[in-house]
Amino acid sequence: MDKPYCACATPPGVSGIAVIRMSGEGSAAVADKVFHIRRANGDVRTVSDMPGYTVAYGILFDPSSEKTVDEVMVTRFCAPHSYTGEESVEISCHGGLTVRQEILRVLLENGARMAEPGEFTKKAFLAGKIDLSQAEAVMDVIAADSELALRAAQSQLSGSLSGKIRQACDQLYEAMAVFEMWIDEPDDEDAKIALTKNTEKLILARERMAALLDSYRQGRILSERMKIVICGIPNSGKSSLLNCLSGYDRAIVTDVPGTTRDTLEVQTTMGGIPVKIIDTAGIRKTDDVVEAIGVDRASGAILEADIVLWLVSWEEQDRTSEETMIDQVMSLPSDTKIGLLISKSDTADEKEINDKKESILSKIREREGLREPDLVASISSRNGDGIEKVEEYVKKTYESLGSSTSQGVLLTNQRHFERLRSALSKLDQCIDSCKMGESLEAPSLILRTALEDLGEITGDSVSDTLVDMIFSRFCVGK
Amino acid sequence: MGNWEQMKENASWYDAGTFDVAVVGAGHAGCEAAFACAHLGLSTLLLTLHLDQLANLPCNPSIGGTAKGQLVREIDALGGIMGEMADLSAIQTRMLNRSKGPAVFSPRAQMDRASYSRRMKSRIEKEENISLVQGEVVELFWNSEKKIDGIRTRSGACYHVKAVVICSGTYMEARTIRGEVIVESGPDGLSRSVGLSRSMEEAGIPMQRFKTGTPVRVNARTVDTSVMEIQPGEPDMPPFSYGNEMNGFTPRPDQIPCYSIWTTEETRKVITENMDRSPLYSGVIEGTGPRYCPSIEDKFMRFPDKSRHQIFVEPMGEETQELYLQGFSTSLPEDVQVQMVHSLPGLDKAHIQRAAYAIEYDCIDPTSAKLSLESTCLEGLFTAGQINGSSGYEEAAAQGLMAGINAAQKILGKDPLILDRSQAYIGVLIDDLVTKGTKEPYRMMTSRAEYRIFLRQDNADMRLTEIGRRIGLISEERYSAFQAKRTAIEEEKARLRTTFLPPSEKLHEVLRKCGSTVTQSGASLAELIRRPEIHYADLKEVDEGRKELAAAVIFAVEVDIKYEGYLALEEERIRKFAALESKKLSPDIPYDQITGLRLEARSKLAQRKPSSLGQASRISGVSPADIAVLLVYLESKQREGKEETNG
Repeated sequence: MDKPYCACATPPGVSGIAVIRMSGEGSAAVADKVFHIRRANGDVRTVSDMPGYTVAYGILFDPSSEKTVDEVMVTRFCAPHSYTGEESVEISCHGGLTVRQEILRVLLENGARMAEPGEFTKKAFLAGKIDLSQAEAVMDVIAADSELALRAAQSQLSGSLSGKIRQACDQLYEAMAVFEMWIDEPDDEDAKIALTKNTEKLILARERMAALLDSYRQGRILSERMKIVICGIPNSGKSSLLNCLSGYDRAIVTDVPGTTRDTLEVQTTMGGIPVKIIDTAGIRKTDDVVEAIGVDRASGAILEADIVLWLVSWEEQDRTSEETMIDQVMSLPSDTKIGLLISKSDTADEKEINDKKESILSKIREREGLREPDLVASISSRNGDGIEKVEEYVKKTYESLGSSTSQGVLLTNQRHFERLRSALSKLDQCIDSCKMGESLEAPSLILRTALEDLGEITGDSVSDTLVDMIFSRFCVGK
Repeated sequence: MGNWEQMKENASWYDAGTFDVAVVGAGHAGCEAAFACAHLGLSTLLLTLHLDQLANLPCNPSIGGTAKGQLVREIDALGGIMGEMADLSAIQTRMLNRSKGPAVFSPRAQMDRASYSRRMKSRIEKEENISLVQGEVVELFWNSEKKIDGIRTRSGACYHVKAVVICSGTYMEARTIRGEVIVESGPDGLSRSVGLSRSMEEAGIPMQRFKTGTPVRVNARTVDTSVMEIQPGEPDMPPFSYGNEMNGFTPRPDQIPCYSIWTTEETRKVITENMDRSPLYSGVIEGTGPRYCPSIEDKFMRFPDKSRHQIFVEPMGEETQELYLQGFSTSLPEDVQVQMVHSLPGLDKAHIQRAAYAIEYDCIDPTSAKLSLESTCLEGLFTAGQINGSSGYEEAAAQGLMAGINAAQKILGKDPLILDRSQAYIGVLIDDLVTKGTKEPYRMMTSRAEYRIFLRQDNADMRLTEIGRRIGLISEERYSAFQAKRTAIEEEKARLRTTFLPPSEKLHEVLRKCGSTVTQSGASLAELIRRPEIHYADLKEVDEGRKELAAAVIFAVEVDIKYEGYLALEEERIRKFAALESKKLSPDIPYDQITGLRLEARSKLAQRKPSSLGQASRISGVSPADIAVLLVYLESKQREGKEETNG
């Protein structure tokens, strides 16, 4: 039987309340494990007792630690009278990011699984709840949802998480390749030697994965924030803007160009939106080795940004660096939003600022194949002029990302979490089976199912990756 | 060219007759294809380049092995002939992995090469519906609807046919390579096929060029086997063929041994010093070689840390002194080969009878074929074996059987037979080739099969005999023997589950003897057999109701009971898999108009036209979200259809 599936039904971002939806047979049973009713009518003690279309107030808790996660309202829907036509539960909770993630985690750990992109809408359609005329819209929702999830996954997979998952996967594939050799090439002596250390290898990989899962749980990796990258040539006022936006002095600000030699990160909220602001080293040609590394990192950060805030000081004179910046920033793909900010507006008059705007825009238009910025504004980090405009723009962008989807970025992470958890428990079984001395085709089957779980994160086709691993590790064949 | 009218103007020709099917090539694929067509009642023309080389084993003189042994059992369960012929021509038999769990046992047998080929020829010649003819097919004909309707041989014989199965092996435009010496030739100095590949290309079939190789053969009289490790055979291996099993066939008791040796430091030195003369590294060879079955120089180059490689010394037959050096394939020049062979233990005075060579040949891009092995480019054209990019006799035979069956089904106006990945290794093999394609000769491995606890050599009959019978390739006699076996297995499993043994001194003694723990509360026979250390045979003394059962029945019962938990897990996985497989996709779906599909998915799907959602999900570039979108599309089409009928 398929597990009930869940996801956050309200858009991401900080809001007063949020709704987490769980659908599928067994939804109420999962809710019963984590929800304690405080006040309800009559004899209703559990979610399963509740009639359809009724609400109960109570505590949502984590059964493993018995800690309260949030005070919530639970609405019960009985099949077929729900959005998806299946038994469903909706949990209205407080709107913070952490609360929502915790609730999802608790649900996943107690028998639910994360919804696939667009799954609620898909199920609603398949159950005949959505009109045939809307079939195309349904397909668009799935596509948009998965596109977003894919982007989120890619931005993560370029980071440290992917490195760690990949490492864990590779170790498991190596161990699996040894099992396979044991079956496929009974005479191979390398495989025989490798086999004696295989359980150890599995245990090592298990520890790695467990650590990864722990860090997930603590929310270190699971901090889904929109990435805003501040860039510009040296001394265009980047660090001042960072300090202004984050509300405290994070960066050392001097008027010596090239002060910021590495990228600096600040996590904060802008207009209620959780963001990660990244200040980069000024981009210019440099012979200083340390500064050069900073410049490289800056270029890397720009590529991964959701929003790039490109600062140009109205008094800027370094023509060559300015042109490099134009080429680098304005050739970014269209899904990265670009804000062109003329800085230090408190020290200039309107004409000087407008002249600078026009001169940059005309340079962009002169060059072929470049796009125009999505926002053009002037700001002063000193007196706060124009900062509100930037915040509004960030919020608008975040909402436009979230509007096509009900789950957004959260989904990818929670799905990773769930698959990792499932893979880990299978890996435990596999190790037990090895230790018990079962014939190895048994643990190898369990290991394959763990790899199938991980494959849903990495996109690996298990058989193909495995065959490649066998050929790269062992000299097989007649 | 490609049609009768143009050909009549240009070529010298004569009308050689009409057949339902022409099978081109009489190797392992061709023989199975022709046999299947003939048994399904079609008039079948089987063409071969060399009438004395049917079902030739030009490389390793063995059939079976891991994954391959399973294929042979499956071919047999469906009604093919490879297993039957292999049983009769075996000079050594072994059950690989016997020390491991019974789910991974794999039968393998050493063949008498000449005998295998002779037997197959005689078997084919006795078939009522087969005309076996020596001839080189050089051209295909098709009509204005791109449907095949004839073939021409080099000697001008033209045949009218409804379907063609091409099993060209490594012969199309082949050339063999030893160092600087390149010969336009098929394997073993046999003549190659010229022109057919060109004709296929004209029909729009995408072609590729692959490379493989074969080792040297030495004269046993000049070899000292006393310094080698002996590999004796096991005369108690059950036969490949279920028909032979039914008739109580047992392998010959006088098994001929094989030997194993290791390469020496000198071997490595000779190879390293002569690498500049290797055509692989000098760029003479253009074809893509296999990672499986690499040449010995490849092994040394790719695994520099490995100081030695194992070589198996295997007899080619009883009436010959030729020995095959398995693991010693090479394309280095002949003079280097002599030094290499002489560097091996026991082979320092060995006399080479056939030098090793690499061979390059034309094959198709198998993604242009359907799961039925019919071409998407030319209706009525089927391909099987190495032409589809596979390697190995068993892989070829399996495809030959399926292509033959499906050519017949088409002519008889029936649906094609398609086995899926949860039914058979054959299903995995064909799905991999057709859905994913291959860039090197593809070899079957058990790691390619997702459900291998279920896809075992012992239960191939339980998995496939019903299907073989439905198609019409299983005799009544075979079928009733199968039914009896199936009943015996079920009855015995039920008996073992329901027979409870109370604790007794006798039982404790039996358990202790097996190194197992005693049971204080008693246990059912099935519960005891589930323990890894206890076998069915061990419980004989305490199992009073036991009947005499055939060895194959006991084996099946024991495996089913021991793996019960794992089989349940696999069944669950198969159920999930089958859910997507059962959602069929029509070839007319306008993928480019489906909103929500990503661009890459649209073009891949439009090009491949997968037959089910499951197959679509395995095409690289098609994401899970694309599958979800297709699911919604299918549902909306179905509802539209309903609304139309209602309205």
